[in-house]
Amino acid sequence: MILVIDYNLKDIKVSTFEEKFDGQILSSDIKAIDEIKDDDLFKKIIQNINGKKKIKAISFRILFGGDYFDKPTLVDEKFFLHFEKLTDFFPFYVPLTSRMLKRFQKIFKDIPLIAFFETSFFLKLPDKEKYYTLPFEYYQNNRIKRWGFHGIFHQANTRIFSKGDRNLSIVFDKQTTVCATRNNKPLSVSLGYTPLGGIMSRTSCGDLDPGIVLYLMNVHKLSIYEIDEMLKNKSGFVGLSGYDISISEMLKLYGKDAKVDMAFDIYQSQIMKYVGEGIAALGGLDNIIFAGSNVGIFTPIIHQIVRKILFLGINTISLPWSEDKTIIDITSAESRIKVYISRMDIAKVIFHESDIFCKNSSNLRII
Amino acid sequence: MKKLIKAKAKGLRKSLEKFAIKIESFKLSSSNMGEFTDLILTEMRDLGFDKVTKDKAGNLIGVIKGYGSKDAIVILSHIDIKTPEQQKAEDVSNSGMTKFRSGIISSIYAGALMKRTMLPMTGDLIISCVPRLGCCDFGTKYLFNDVLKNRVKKIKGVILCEPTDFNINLGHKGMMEYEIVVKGKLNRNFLENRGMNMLGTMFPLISELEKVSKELPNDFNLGRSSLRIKDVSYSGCQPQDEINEFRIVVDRAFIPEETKGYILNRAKAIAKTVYKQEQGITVNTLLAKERIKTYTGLDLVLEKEFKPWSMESHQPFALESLESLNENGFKSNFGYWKKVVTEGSYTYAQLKIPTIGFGAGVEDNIDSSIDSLNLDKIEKASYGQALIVQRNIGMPTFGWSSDEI
Amino acid sequence: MKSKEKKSNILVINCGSSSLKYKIIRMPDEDEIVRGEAERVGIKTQGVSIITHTVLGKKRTIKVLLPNHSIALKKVLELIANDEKENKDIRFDTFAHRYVHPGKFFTKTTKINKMVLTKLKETLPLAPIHNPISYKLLEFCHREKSSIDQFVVFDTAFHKTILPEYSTYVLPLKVIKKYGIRKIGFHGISHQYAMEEACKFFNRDKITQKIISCHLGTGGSSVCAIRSGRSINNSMGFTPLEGLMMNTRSGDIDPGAIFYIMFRECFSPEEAENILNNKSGILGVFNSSSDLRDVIKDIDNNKQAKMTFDMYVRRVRAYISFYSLILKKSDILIFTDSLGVGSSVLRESICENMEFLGPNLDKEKNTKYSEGISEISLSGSETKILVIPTDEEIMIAREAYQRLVKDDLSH
Repeated sequence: MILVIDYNLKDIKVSTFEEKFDGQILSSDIKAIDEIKDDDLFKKIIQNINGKKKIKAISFRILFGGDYFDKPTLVDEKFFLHFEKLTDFFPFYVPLTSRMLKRFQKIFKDIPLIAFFETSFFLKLPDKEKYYTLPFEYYQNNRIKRWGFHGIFHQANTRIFSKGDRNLSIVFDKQTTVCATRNNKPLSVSLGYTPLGGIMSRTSCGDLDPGIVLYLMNVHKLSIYEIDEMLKNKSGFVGLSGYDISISEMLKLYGKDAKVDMAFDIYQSQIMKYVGEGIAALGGLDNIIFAGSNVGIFTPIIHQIVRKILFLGINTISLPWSEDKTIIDITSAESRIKVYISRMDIAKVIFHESDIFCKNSSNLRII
Repeated sequence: MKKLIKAKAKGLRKSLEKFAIKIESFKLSSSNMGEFTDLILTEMRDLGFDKVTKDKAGNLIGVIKGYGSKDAIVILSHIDIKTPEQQKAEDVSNSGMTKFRSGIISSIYAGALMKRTMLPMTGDLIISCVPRLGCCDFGTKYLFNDVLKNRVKKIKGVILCEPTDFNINLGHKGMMEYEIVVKGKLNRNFLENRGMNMLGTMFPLISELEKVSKELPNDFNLGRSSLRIKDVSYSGCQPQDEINEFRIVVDRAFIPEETKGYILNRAKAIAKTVYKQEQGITVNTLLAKERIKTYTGLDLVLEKEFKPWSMESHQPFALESLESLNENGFKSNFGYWKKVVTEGSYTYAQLKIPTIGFGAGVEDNIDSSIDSLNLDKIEKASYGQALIVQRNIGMPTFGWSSDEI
Repeated sequence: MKSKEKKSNILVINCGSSSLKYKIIRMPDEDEIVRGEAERVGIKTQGVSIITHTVLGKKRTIKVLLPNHSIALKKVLELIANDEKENKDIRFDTFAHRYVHPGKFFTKTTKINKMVLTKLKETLPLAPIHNPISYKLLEFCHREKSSIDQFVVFDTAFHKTILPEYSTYVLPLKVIKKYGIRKIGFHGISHQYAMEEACKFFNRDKITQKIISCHLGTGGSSVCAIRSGRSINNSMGFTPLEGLMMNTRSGDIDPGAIFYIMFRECFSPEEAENILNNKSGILGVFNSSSDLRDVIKDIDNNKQAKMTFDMYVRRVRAYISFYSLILKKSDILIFTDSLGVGSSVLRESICENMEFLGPNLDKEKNTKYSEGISEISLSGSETKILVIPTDEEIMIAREAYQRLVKDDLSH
């Protein structure tokens, strides 16, 4: 059995997988893990999620890997040495995540822990995509560059396509990212240094004229903390509609509320901008794949986006699209461009990757 | 960031309540200080502070290590210890005592919050409780001159946990106690028309001092200086006594433009003028001193003076702290204490370390019941102090929201 | 019902930060009678200030002290008055000024009167370099030549038709309303001119055309999506800082990166503004020059030059691609202004592998292009590619003339 852990600084989501039951998932949310002070109790809770089956490995989804972590890595002393150096980039994430990992390491002493990074895939971005147009010394001193996100998904998505194909991968999650790939390499990605650029989320702003930030600072004397708070926590769908509700609730209002409709229109136009950027980077298009945890509830949005680009040579099959397979092809045979929807969970993706990782015995230290 | 800190505060609430009950119900006297301080040290250790110590003067010091070793922040609270005489005098109520306890609780839990959230700081966070016996700040002096001697230049700021009603206080008047000693040989003709009595000879000086007390200078922020005759004593009231001497003990609240030397000299001059017609009179003024023995066994003689201080509101430490509060739900302003004195008299007036006050409660609230220790307010104070620490020495995360991870 | 076509000689005034361009254009024939440029206006360094003045084809250069734009205009008017004595035909009857950013007060070409001037005075901080200069000249003409009609043409007016889903930024509604934040767009005069000329060139009604116009210059670059003769999106935004990588402006950038740099390097808001506006873009990445032409010269031997060029090209391609999607493939793709017209290397890199979205470049025609309005696409290309040299002055004259005629009809 392999466990996949998704940590959001408060709770953990534990998904269990057994190799022989591909597709069988049992998952459980454990809330406020810091409050469970007793390590033995903690261990019991985790082991009991799927009966006391033997745990072969525990994999973790880690949001940021900096320049050092370019692939899935075993969690050991060397790991912590390099991971904790990333504190500067992500101050509220790295120390808490490091502590969580150390706790697992202590409790599950003999089980290999594997860290998967959302940024590893994008270390291969071409130079012209990576750097911002700021004076180059800021890259050198501060590593201000495009780190990308959802690398685990985008890399997995791109594996299903043939060599030489030009692919667009769009992931709908708490963040939405658009990534262009070819030959297992990323050519562009919408999320750069922070989620403030790129595509809007429930509370963040997506692409914004930097002049607006300067205007608010210089003319209206707002501090960078105030503006940062506004852009990341008070904008997005919440800011435009005025309703502080979840995305699925927002979708229920779609078509019924003018402000929500405008929010979704802008959301789609931001996605379109990055689809355009991706097509420019690829010099054409062969496949599009939609994936992510929200891909199920976003079916109407996907439908609208695809409709807008039918002219590129896409023939879709009519709704409703089947929900029985994990990856479905929503285009007909004559369609020049193929469009897929993947309902695979991030945990499942990590599980597959973990399986591969473990099978390669050179990855695991002999315990 | 705010949400992360708030979430951890919620998790710490039970622990804060338990500690508050222990602290509040402890009947503190100069003889059981050791037990009281041990309570506090244990709490710091239980909350996971990286280093917990007590120094020779009895100061309690808890350190939460920073990710880097740049500037540190010190959060100071104090423990009021009454001398046995003070104890007897004001046994009726514990008024004034309650205030310091909420300061201790909020400062320790501010540290606990920074520890729990693991928000990296560019320097250390030092939480310290200093004992204050009578009217002397020997604890603070020892803390900064001895224990923190090597760090003093690298302290970004000091936060005083005193009641400010959640505002940021930037100073207060100074307080000193001095004596005017008038010695002389009275003879038959001394103030003949008044009769031979000591009280009579003192009246002119007392009345002159009363007059002076009505014309003292005013500071725009800190208020008006004041003069109060605390005590009057005399010895040798008969003409045949060898030496006739009387002393007037004065409680003087003063503002920055008046220095200690200026006040003492002026008092001397006033007294001299009153008795200028008499011969053989000597006048002397001196700062009152107090001899104290700390609960850790140190024997000290200290002058009874707290310097006035008033930090400029455009000081970066003050500005950033105010901004961080107001951007996160507080409605704070800059303010000044009118009645109390604090450790700022040493940290800012003497050492020039940027100092602000921030805490729950109002300075002249004289409630003493256990409910007055409003736990919500204490939690709010520790949250505010954590925000101030985070803004000044925390490493911010821009763009990422802790909600959308 | 058309009355006899009114003839008018319009003096168009188009200022840069240290220059003053002017033309007298006879409308509606669009004949250029006088043209000129005052250079090095208000610059204190060495090098003499000059006015190059061409009347009916005859050019002369006059050296004269030009400490500010008002004096420059005064001198220009004197020159014209002198020339008028010899040739009455060059006498002008209307002023037309270019004004960069009128805020929310004006959305179309307007005739100058006292009220208009008062409103414009409030907009000076919106384009702190250009607006005050234009305003001074408007005031000068209003005061000194009050008998002559004056029209002001705005760089932002063409973009008032940008669709709400592209012009709304994702911010709290309160903030949007309080500060009036929305995508305004710039280079409107240039994009409008390019659109009109393109339609003329192919003899197509602008109502039917979907056009992408790329204004790539040394004074800023922007891309514009045009449908049925109306701007529906522009890469610049609330300020000219958004969009493409420019000479010294950053273009699109993650605001989180701005905050990090300001925090780590302790920059004040003013310093941040200076860096993003004056030290980023091509200058920021290439370092030794802010001119893309210098970068292009070095592409083969300098990795940094190659990367700078690639970054510039990539961003233009991203916007062309985006606009192609929202227009569902364009009919015409236009390159205009100094870099768009001047660099065939740039055009070729931008158009590489773009056939998928319509434009199919004829490499030979592209390399051979030298001047004028010219088509550089392959004959079967779904999207025609045109090179159109900028002529903002004619566009300004057209706008002013249209207003003039409208005013006449209504009287």
